[in-house]
Amino acid sequence: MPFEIVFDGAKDFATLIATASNLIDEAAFKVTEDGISMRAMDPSRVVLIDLNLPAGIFSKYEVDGEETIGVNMDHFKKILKRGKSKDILVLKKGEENFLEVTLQGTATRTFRLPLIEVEELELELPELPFTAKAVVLGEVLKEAVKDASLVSDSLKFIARENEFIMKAEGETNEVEIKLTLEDEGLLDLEVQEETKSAYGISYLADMVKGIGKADEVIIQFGNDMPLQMDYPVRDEGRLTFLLAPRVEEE
Amino acid sequence: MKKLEEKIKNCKKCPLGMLRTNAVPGSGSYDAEIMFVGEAPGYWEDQKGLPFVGRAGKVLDELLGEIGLKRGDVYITNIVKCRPPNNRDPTEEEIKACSPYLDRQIDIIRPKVIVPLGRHSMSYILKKFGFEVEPISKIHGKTFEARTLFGKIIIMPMYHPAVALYKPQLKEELRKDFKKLREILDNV
Repeated sequence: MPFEIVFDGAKDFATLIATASNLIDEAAFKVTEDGISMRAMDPSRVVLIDLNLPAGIFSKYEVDGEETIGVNMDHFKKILKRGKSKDILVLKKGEENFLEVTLQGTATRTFRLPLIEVEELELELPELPFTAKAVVLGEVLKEAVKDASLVSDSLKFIARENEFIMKAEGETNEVEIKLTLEDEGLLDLEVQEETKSAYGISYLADMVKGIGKADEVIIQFGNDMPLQMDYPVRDEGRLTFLLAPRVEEE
Repeated sequence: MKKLEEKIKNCKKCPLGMLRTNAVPGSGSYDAEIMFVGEAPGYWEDQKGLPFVGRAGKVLDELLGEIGLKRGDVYITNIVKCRPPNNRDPTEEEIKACSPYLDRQIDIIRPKVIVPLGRHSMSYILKKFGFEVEPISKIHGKTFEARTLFGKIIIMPMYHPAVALYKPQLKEELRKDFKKLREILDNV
């Protein structure tokens, strides 16, 4: 099924794909008349990525019917990285098994990316009984992950009434990032009970790469339960991660 | 799982797909708590389309029986689903082409314990779950705990049952590891 999709701001799209490509090697993108979606898990089944880009965020969206295209994420990322902020990105597929990636800027550059067979992940997003929800500014989360990576390989999330804490403890150093609703960085906090859970820094570092500093990031977690992180893509779109908790050393 | 097994039977993703008599997707319970992952089918497996039906399979049946398990209680498969010619080791390319099937089988069965049998299988499974690979002589019978979105998975590498055929002293090691496996299963 042929399609032609145009996205203004090639760099933003590149960042999105780069974020996912840190965690997965291949992905199956489902292209329908409503938009593009992709759901995948990393090989270790520690992270699930769910990307939803409705037709409305694209400046041109000509899709008839439905098609799933499989791509090598590393190759896709490298091509997209050649785009500049102001470049227009055109994704086009004809009858052949190629994705045409065009970057329109001072010149028109067209790459042809071979499509591959990728197993589509037939998995519903589980509804987990989270006991804490915090809405934070992207900048806060990005900085917290950087701070924590200096001292440990895991970051503990703690939510109490009117208090959201991210804490990392190494053998010698430790760091604590504390937020209350009086802080600019914490936009909302809902806590059903005091909640604590730890997650791997390397995964978190990959997950936060694509977040804009001013984005509102929704973090939901439970005691010793996966963490769900959602952030908007051009308002209507959404990138969601589900991250398994770290085994706490006894 | 039936759909996936059908896909494996018709797979031509690598040259082994042209050389086989039958692909060997796997066999056993789809609700198994324990999954055994061998390396690749041999002559008899290729003939019958079933895993571990040759001499190594007899050793596996014996060891399973000693800890009170039957084939129907477990799921048995290999990383590579088609027989490499002359029973040679599977290549990296063959493992890369075939391993998405194993990944999917693990996702469907969601076992509590995975037992990689032999060094290739051990290496793939340990790397997949983010563990460092060491020689099988050093880490057989040891357990590794992976925390995934589906819960905890215990990985316990063991020697391939075929070693018992040419190195009888290693059969005792296998027997000890199976006893340990029984203890783990009693506690999960």
